[in-house]
Amino acid sequence: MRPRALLLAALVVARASAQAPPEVQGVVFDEPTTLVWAPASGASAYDVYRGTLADLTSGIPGRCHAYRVNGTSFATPAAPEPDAGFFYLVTGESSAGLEGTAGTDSQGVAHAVLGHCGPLMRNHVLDRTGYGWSEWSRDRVATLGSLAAYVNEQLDPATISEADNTELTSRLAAIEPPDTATELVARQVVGGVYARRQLAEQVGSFWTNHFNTENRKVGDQYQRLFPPCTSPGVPPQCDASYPQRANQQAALAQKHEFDTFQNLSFDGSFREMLEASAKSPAMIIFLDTITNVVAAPNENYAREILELSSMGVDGGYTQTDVERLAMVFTGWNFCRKSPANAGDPLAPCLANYWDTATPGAWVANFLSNRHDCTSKVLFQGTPQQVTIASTCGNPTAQVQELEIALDAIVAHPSTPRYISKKILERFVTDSPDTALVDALVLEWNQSGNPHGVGDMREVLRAALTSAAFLDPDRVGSKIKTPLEHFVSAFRAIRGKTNGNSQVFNYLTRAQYLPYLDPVPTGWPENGDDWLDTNNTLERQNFGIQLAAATGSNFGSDPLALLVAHGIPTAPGNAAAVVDFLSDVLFGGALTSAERQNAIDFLNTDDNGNQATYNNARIKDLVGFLLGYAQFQEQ
Amino acid sequence: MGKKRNALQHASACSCSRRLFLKGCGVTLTGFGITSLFPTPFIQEALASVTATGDKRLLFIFLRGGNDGLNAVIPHGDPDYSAAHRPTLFVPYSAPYDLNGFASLHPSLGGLLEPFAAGDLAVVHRVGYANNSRSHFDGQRIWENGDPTQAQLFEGWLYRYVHDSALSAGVSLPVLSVQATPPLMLRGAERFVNVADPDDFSYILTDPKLTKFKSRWRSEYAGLDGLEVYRPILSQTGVKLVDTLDEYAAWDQASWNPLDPNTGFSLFPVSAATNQAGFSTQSFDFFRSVKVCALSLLESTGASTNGTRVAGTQLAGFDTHSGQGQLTGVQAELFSWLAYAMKSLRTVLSGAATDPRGYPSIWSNTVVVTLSEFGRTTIENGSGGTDHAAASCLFVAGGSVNGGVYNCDASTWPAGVTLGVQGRYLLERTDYRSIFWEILRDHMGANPALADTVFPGYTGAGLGAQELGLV
Repeated sequence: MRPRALLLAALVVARASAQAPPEVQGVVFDEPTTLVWAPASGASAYDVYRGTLADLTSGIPGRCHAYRVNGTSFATPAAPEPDAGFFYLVTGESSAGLEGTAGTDSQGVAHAVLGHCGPLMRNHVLDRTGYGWSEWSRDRVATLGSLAAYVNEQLDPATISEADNTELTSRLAAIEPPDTATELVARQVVGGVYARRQLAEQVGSFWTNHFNTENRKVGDQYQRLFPPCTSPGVPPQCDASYPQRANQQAALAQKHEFDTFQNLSFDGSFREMLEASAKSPAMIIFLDTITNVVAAPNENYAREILELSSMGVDGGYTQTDVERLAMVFTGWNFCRKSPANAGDPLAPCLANYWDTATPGAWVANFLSNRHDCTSKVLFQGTPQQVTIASTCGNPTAQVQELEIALDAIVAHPSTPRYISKKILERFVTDSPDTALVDALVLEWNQSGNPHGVGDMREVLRAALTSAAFLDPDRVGSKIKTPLEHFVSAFRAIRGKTNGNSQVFNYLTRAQYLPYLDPVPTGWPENGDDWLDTNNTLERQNFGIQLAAATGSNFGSDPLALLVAHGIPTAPGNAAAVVDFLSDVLFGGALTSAERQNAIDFLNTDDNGNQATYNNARIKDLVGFLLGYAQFQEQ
Repeated sequence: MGKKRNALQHASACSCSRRLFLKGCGVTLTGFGITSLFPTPFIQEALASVTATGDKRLLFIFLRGGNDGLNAVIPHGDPDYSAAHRPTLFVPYSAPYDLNGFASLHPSLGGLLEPFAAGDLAVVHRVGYANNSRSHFDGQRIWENGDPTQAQLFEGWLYRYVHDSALSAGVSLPVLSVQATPPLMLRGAERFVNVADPDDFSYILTDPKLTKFKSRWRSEYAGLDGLEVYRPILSQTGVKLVDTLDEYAAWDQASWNPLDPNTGFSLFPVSAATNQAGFSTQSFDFFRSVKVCALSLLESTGASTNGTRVAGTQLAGFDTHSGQGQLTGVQAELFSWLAYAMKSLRTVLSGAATDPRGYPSIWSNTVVVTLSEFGRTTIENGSGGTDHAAASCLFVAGGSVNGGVYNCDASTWPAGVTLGVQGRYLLERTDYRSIFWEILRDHMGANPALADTVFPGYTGAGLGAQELGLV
């Protein structure tokens, strides 16, 4: 059916502005689904808002539906329900990003919109490519002039200087090198809150979670290598500071994973990532490769590398493939080697590994006598079939088996699909459709990319430059993980954190602790998994506590934030305070009822009576707004 | 499956813009507004009026990771359970733990002997489903969603039962999960309350400020509008949270410490002070969770309209690829916690505990059931552990349960089944859905007509023939 468009035309505000364009005139449908309008002077692009006619009747404003449309037409794909209709508003944007008026109704009342496209999309991009709004990120978007330019810069983190970002560098310096899981988590929190390279922080967190290892199991293994001393120096590898020293080694192994994945995300391929994970001591311990030996293979890693790291549970492998792959991984282990030998799995281990005065690194090691050297066929009977001939008597070829197997896994068409889908789930939508996955796979398969097939930066770029990523209809369609939620709260209200103390406790209670998830799958990305009474409770409690706290290791300063932006904290400015905070926290997208709820909150005392507010009440308001549902969304 | 449930079962069910999402899945804002959900609950299925759930209660404990059933309920009558197949894990026969001359319990499960002797415990072996993928995540999802043909269905069979039986109609806290995040078994369009840390389920504010925040947050969440896909869940969650906190606080779980009438030990060791039984401190979270589950059921009388009828928690750590242990070790320790908890549940739910609160017995109206996503390889691996496999065992306890050993005697355990799948895994004899459906129907009083709704394809697959008569 032909959609009915209610065209909200109003008198032209006869004011020639060098800044914001005037109201857009002549909005009509010239095709059943194409909206056209007359050019507005000074407009370099247009924002389109849409709502249902039923909403209009209820006083619910239109929402941002298309952002910065070039030209004077927009093809809107969705037809309304029978007997329903949409209404549209169009505004102009100047080249400086200033948005023109949406006009007024016949009574002279300005047309409302539920969040202007500009701040809404700005917050969307900051949420998805990083950990949300901060003053620096907001200003950076403005400086670069467009969200696309901001995303492009984030995809090249080396060009973003952190040299003068002293909050970041000094707080990280206090943590480095991490000795415990707590400090590993703190690295992610501090990086998320303070780093300008926001995408690098997100990506490092994403891949670390994808190739999840768990600190306690890794630490237990190192403890076996550094036993307690029965008497000083006995046994020789004992350590008087047991188990701290062992735990340090475990933390370093996991830090190495994060750093490696983060680097390869912008300068490497998925093949390299998979190998880095497979040969990481933390993974070799976590999924039992160390005890996977000939004649009694352990299938744990073989199954999870297929199911979780690469192809996905429906990727087309069989139980036989799991068993054959387990054979490939037999004999792999880890130990400390000299720097010269670190890259050679067959090179000897340092006999006195406990002596830190001897330079060395914990790396993968291969024991030929524990390896099942018989021939193996992977993906038998499929187009991806790969045969590994017997390698008996040839340790070099035995080591090569792992390379051949990883090649086969990465070359399997299920791998780019599964990984692309997971990238989309993290950055774009919890429910990527086939076309979206196809687009990433297409990019994945471009052999001309700097790192060839599976170039991770280019695949990520394809996700972050897709139309779906910048679709205003997808704003708020994902739920922040607890880490994203807490970190974004710090960023929004001039929060301060050393990454430890209270935030760690809240992450624990909200059931999200990187490096400490014993389940190999890592934490889920799907919003459904983070929406329950406990999680909402902890998020709300966190907001209350953070807004009230003033410490330098856990605190915030929303009052200074307001003052710095010219918002008076003196009584009588409730609407201005709420509107500023709404812009920061929600991209301005609050309904009039939600906005009024906040204004009333400010104007009433704890007993609910009208009362002049003070600074403490403003902080309460900030805590209250951090507990809004919209702040859980991204 | 009902439209409304379909629409919200999982965001990935619809991969389209939010407008198309709503359109494609049959929900319109005008027809089914979010705000219309409150304060009244969902419109329940018409079938609901047929059944009265009365006073029946269900408590589940999910053993996450894949419990090695062969070392839990040990088929000593089968020579394939042997030291040759399990060099370090083989548990020798021990007469006190013998159940029926064929099967015996792992000694760390000895706490189950008392309910077993009383006829209150069904020990069921060889439970699973055909063509198990041996993935934890598929396996758990399938055990929880009740449909082996749909590994990606994010809606629980227990949810469907609760929802379609109108168990939640007008009830503020019909269902409670006490674990890190809500189990899939209880997930669906309507959200139930989940408590992650029983000691910390409250706002950090005090009155009058507490009331101010609660009432304004409630109004914000109840009035939540918009097309964002998670808005309905956010709305329900936020409102349920505010509406539940007072009731939960009234239970005062922290001060509840029922004792074993014989030993004087705390039935739920949740702290050093209550740990007369001497478990490791790592057990406290589990016991605390079980305790709150039990309390929620005890606080729910037949006459109460706010009573909890279904409660559940989990015990993780059964993924014993390495260092599983024999008489001691990882699995044995978990068993000792599980057995103590199940024995405690019988004591406290039957009104036998030493407890000033004096809760009456609800034992004859209660079923406690365990489940786990799969069993483990019959043949030990090289790491002193076992890998993912197929069928496993589970326990069903309650005052109305027909106690005994099922699927683990000479007639139900023919030679060969221990290596019955691919020469490596225990072959299942009873589909897990048959177990749970007969519990829902015969114990909870579920309408028999709901069988195919709760477990899609139940009738067509002839699963009724596999039922064991457990209740």
